[in-house]
Amino acid sequence: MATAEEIIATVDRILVDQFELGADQVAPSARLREDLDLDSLDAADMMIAIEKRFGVRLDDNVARSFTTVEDIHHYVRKLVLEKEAAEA
Amino acid sequence: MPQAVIVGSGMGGLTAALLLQKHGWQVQVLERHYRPGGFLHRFFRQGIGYDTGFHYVGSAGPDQLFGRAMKHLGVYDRLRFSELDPEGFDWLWFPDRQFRVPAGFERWKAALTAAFPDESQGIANFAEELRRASRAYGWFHLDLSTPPESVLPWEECSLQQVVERHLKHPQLRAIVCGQTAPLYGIVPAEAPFGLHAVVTDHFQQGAYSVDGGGDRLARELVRELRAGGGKLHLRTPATAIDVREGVAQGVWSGERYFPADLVVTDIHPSLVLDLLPAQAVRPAYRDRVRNSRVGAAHIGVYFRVEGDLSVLKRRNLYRFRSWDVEEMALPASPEAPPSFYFLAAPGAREQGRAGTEQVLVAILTAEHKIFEQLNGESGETRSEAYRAAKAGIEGQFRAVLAEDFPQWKVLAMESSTPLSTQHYTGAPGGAIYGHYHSVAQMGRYRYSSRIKVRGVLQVGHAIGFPGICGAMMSAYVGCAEILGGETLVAELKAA
Ligand SMILES: Cc1cc2nc3c(=O)[nH]c(=O)nc-3n(C[C@H](O)[C@H](O)[C@H](O)COP(=O)(O)OP(=O)(O)OC[C@H]3O[C@@H](n4cnc5c(N)ncnc54)[C@H](O)[C@@H]3O)c2cc1C
Repeated sequence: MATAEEIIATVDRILVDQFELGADQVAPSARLREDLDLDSLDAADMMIAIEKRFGVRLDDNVARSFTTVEDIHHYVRKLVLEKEAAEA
Repeated sequence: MPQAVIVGSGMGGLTAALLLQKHGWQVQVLERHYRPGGFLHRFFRQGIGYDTGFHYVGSAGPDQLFGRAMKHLGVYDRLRFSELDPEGFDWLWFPDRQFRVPAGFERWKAALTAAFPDESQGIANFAEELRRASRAYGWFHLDLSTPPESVLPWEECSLQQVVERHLKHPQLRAIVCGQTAPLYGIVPAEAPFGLHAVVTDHFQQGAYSVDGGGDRLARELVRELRAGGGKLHLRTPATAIDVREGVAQGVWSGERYFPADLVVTDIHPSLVLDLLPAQAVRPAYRDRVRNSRVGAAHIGVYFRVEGDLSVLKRRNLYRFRSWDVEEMALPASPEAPPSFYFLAAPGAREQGRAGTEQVLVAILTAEHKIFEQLNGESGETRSEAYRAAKAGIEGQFRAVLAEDFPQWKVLAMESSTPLSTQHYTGAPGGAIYGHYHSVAQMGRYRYSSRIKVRGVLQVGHAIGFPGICGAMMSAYVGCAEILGGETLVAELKAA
């Protein structure tokens, strides 16, 4: 079972490696658009990267409403927990 | 005057060029080949023209989408469209049953119901779903009040799922699904229902050929471009897009530089990546493009016959030698007869072009990697194994043709493989529709016109939908980012 810390660390790694952000930039409170220059073009790539890494499926409307890095953490954690519960 | 450079002179590139030119841009089109048009290309042997990627197009009536766009782009009056038989423009020939696809939803429903009377309700429900799905695509109905997200649910379910919900008889299912692989390159289990609905609607409005084929269409578009001051540079491959601080500044072709305020690409997104500096896009996007699947490939068989072609004068043939839709999509092999072929006689539809009326073009399913492996390191000279496979497939096709049309005498035949397609158009994998427009790669995963580099717009069949009209509409949708969607729709409606 993945711990919250592991999930958060993996999401952050995706942002750092796949979106070329500095590790220090990817703070939970960082705003995706304003601070990280992640726009709607990046959204599709991000969904694909997360879905591939975690084997979950993101809801389009939820993903579109992300404003901070923390929003991604929370949502991915919820999906991963649901998936693990379903598999258990 | 703002300057645009268009990379590629296919249907998408030429449409974008004319749209921008109409709106006050100075336009230059760069094309790597020695003829414009990309898949619109018609090649010549002893003065006889053979069409490659244009056999028919839908909605070319004066008040329909394609026809309106041709008017809007200024070429309608110089093209002669002829409608294929509205009672049956596509002739589906199965092992023990034939079906002619008529134009018009009502006629189509009636024809299916006549063949499968027990399923009249299912057919009506299926047709209704098709209509609803197609309506979700605002651009194809010149109605942008439908939000772009409304297409998503229609691209998340497959044609097969919807068919299984409404239609029972396996033969009815095959009749409805059989054309998907040749028509847009995807098997029914993976074809987005929305795509199927748009393609069906497109041809239900009427199927048309054009005199002179795609070559004529391309030439008229180029003539219009030149008349408006635009330039076409043939044998001029783009080799790099010049990007500074995240903004495109121009395009290099070897040593030549073409400055640009806007670069429009009419090539596969992976070829666009090849032109960009490594750091211009994020790794996530790069990986996604590099890992995406390109569409189906084909073997084109080009030949002339002695004999009566009237049966193909106003229709195309889809010859299925099996009822199994999966089997029909299998690549043609030198060892066995093909389970499917498409046949058109574009010349027979034209008036008074001596020599061309006996020309036939067949399409068989193929896989790029098979030919790539056979060719090994041989490059353009082609290996013995490659040539043997090609000759073997031609032989199998000849045998099948002799069975199906014993009255014809084949005069001259040659064929192209996915490697030929790649050689002439640059298309990765020789894909005839660019992208593999499957459920897994469409919907929210579809490519967008914009990329991270500002001043670059992507158009073409990999970005939009497959086919001539798909590539054309991708240019309208892409250019709407600059010229405004409402403006373009209003102009189309007024055309
Ligand atoms: C056998 C076959 C039959 C078909 N039949 C039909 C049909 O009946 N009806 C229909 O609607 N559709 C049909 N299609 C599909 C249709 O032809 C295509 O979907 C459509 O023409 C694609 O247009 P495009 O503008 O996207 O790309 P393309 O036509 O591929 O144009 C891209 C252009 O870019 C050029 N290029 C590539 N790299 C560079 C570079 N670096 N610099 C400069 N130029 C470059 C290429 O040479 C090419 O001219 C068929 C396709 C095939 C292969």
